[in-house]
Amino acid sequence: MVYFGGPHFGWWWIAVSAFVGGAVIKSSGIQSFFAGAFGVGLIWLWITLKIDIATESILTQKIADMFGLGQVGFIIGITVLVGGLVGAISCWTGHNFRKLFERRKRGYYK
Amino acid sequence: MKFFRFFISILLSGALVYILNQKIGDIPPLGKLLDPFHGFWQNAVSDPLDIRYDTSLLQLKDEVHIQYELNLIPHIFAKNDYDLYFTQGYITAHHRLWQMEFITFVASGRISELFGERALDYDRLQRRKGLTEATEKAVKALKAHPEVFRSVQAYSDGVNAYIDQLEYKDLPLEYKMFNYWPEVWDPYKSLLTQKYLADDLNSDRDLQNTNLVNLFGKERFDFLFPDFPEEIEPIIPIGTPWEFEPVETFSPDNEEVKNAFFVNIMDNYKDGIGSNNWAVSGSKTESGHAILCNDPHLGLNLPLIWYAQQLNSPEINTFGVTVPGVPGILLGFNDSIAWGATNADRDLRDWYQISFRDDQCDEYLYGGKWLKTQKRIETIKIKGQDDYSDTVVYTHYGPVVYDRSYMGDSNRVDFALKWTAHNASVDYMAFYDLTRANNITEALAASSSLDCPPQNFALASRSGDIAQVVQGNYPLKWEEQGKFIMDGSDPNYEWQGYIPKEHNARIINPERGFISSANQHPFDSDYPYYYHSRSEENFRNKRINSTLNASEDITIDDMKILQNDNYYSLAASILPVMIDSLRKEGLTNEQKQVVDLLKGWDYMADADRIEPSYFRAWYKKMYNLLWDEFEVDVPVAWPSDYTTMTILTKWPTDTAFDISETEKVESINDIITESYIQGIDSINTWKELNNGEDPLWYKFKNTRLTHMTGIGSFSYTQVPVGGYVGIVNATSGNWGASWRMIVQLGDEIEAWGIYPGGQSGNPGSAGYGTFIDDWARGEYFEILFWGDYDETREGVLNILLTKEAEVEN
Repeated sequence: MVYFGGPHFGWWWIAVSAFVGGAVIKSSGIQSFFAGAFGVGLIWLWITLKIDIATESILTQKIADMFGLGQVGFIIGITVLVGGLVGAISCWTGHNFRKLFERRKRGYYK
Repeated sequence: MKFFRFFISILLSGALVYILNQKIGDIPPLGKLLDPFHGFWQNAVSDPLDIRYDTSLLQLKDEVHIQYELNLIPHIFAKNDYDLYFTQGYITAHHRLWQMEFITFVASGRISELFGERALDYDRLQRRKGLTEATEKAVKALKAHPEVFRSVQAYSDGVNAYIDQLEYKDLPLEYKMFNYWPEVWDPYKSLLTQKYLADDLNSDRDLQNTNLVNLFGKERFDFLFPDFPEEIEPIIPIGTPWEFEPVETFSPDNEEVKNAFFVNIMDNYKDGIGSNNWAVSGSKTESGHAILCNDPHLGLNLPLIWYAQQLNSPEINTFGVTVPGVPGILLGFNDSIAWGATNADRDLRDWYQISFRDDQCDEYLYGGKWLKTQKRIETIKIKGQDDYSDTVVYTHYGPVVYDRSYMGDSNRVDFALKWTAHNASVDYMAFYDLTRANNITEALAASSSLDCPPQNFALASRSGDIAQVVQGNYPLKWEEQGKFIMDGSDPNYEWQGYIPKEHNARIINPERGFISSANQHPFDSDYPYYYHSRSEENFRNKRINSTLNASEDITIDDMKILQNDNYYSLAASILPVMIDSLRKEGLTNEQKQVVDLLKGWDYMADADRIEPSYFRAWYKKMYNLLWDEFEVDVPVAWPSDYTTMTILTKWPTDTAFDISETEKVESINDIITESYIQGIDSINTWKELNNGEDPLWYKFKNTRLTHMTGIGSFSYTQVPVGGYVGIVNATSGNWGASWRMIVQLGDEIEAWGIYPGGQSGNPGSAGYGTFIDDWARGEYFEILFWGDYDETREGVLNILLTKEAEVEN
């Protein structure tokens, strides 16, 4: 969802994707958190590495310098971190959303 | 509990997304910016020819061919002028959109919108100078020439067609970083960009002059700041007769200088502004054809101020550079003629002290009566704050720039600015017509539409004519009028009209076989109108003239060498005196070695020499000691390098050599020796800060190409280039040859050009700094000037723009 929808929607799409992921897939809270982090983080890592290598860090280096980071790796790291954090929290939110209905269901059958 | 947890988590994720979507302080919106699908990652372009824009456009009337060279210079072939200018706007926006819009923000005082309150004083000054009001008048004036105006409109349509199809991921990087979106473009903004050039190129020092006369007296002022110093070589050679009857001027009796000390002025003189142009006739060239050269010296920022292109339609075929935002070509050539320009500034801005009736500023005194003012409310948007409303009071002279609410000190307040840039002029038309001129006569006529900023046009034609004309709208003044602050209540101080354009100085096909200008005096004191400027530079022109005088069989390569000439005339004329006056006893071995080094110097300020660094360090300290009396707490102008040279070489006992703070009366030897020791010290300090490196000239002077926002990683420092202020290669720290052009007007036009930047304005593109290395080395790219569209041309990227079929409802 992140990979295919990413180019077509705003950056907030990762939050929506992770939320849906968390809501649809049954998991524990911790699991959903890390699933979201890794899901979004890995895809963002893949795309950023692809761009960085294809363009020989032409811009990545300048942005890294602009933030005073020096190394290209840091800017890739921060990108993945931001994506991962949003993915994690959104996925966990999706998980919590799922829980709401689980409880209601349980209540209904009791 | 689960509700609560869900509530907390959705709040948290919502807040996170919201925060990462905002610019907070100086931190850009990180989520948006870092998103690899849309953020800055998408601005990384390793192949500059990876061009992304729609090729099917509704507004086109016919198809348009674009051929990009590998260096991203486009050649546009259109079947009508509307399509030509439309396409120019369209692709300029693609490559330079952020820059062109940012220039209009700078010009119209809208920087606070992006950077917050710290830019407010700057914005207020820009508004108070009256350029926005003047641009509105200029739009109206240009509309009276519908054919010309249509080109500006077409260009706007093209820019907007590009903006309309923009998606966030293709937005120029700077918009993403500062989190805003481009606005609709319009002809107003194109003309505003031209006013920006006037603002950049015009200056005065009336307030500083007034302070100087009060401090030192008129006689000393005249001695140090003469209108016509000795031994000048004006643009129009001395002795050229004036073949017109000058208009009479009235001179009032009371030429008193106003006793005003004024502390806070922002508009400081920019050192190093200027340009060179010259043309040699076929009699002096190897090919027998005329050659025209031009290198305007402007602020070195990135994206660089020029954008190069060829424009071809059934009506015109022209190549050259323009400022992104201004349609057409500003400096270049066509099938028949070539033109180049240098700044021809004079005292075009005068300050009138206004006497308001009361604090309401509704009325002011003029000729014994109270005249009504007009007020214009300038609303300045400020990032993260409420709007700021500034009331600018307009008198018949112009806007009151400094008053009790802006930079007015307790002493005297309320100064109105009268400036030729305020007039409703059609400056754009001069360049529109130049691209269409078929010969020198038409080119001269075309250039006369330029009012402001005035330029010295060098012209050359394929039929072998060369000409120079000082073109602009110059106020008609009595002797010394406007050199100092004037009394706005006295009608005697009014300008008396303008010098008729046909009385502007010009020279056509002079006997010496060349014309040249390098911001020196346009003429000698025998010109029948009062002349005063603040910006003459009297070194470069002498080097150019002596070189051209001594040359025969001139080739294009000779012209390249001359444009990159690093002969330091100031050093050549004063270093022998400085070395003579230096007391050698008591110098350390190291200090003596540097003297020997300088004695053997050939005065070339090449990039990898160390002598110019030592000379400059010494000169700077000497200058400061010599003119220590100018170190006062009111703004004053400091003497020029030319005056400094004159004092050193001709007035060795002048009182300037005395340091006013000490009891001792210093001599030239004291000053020279003291400054020499200080100069060596400053070089040693520089070395300590630079890991003990040799003070190579290019490192010491540090020529920089700074991104317009100052972001360091988008900028270049210590560009390995020689030259300096007052050298033909006038490349100093942040000013320099912004475009070098050489055009030989034979049967086939042969032309060369270079500028310190790249065609792409995107810091993430390989096309951002394409030309910088070649520029620094003094190399050029060959300008490809083609006839009609030819699909068989090799080594180009072909793009076909077509008219989009209208969808029928």
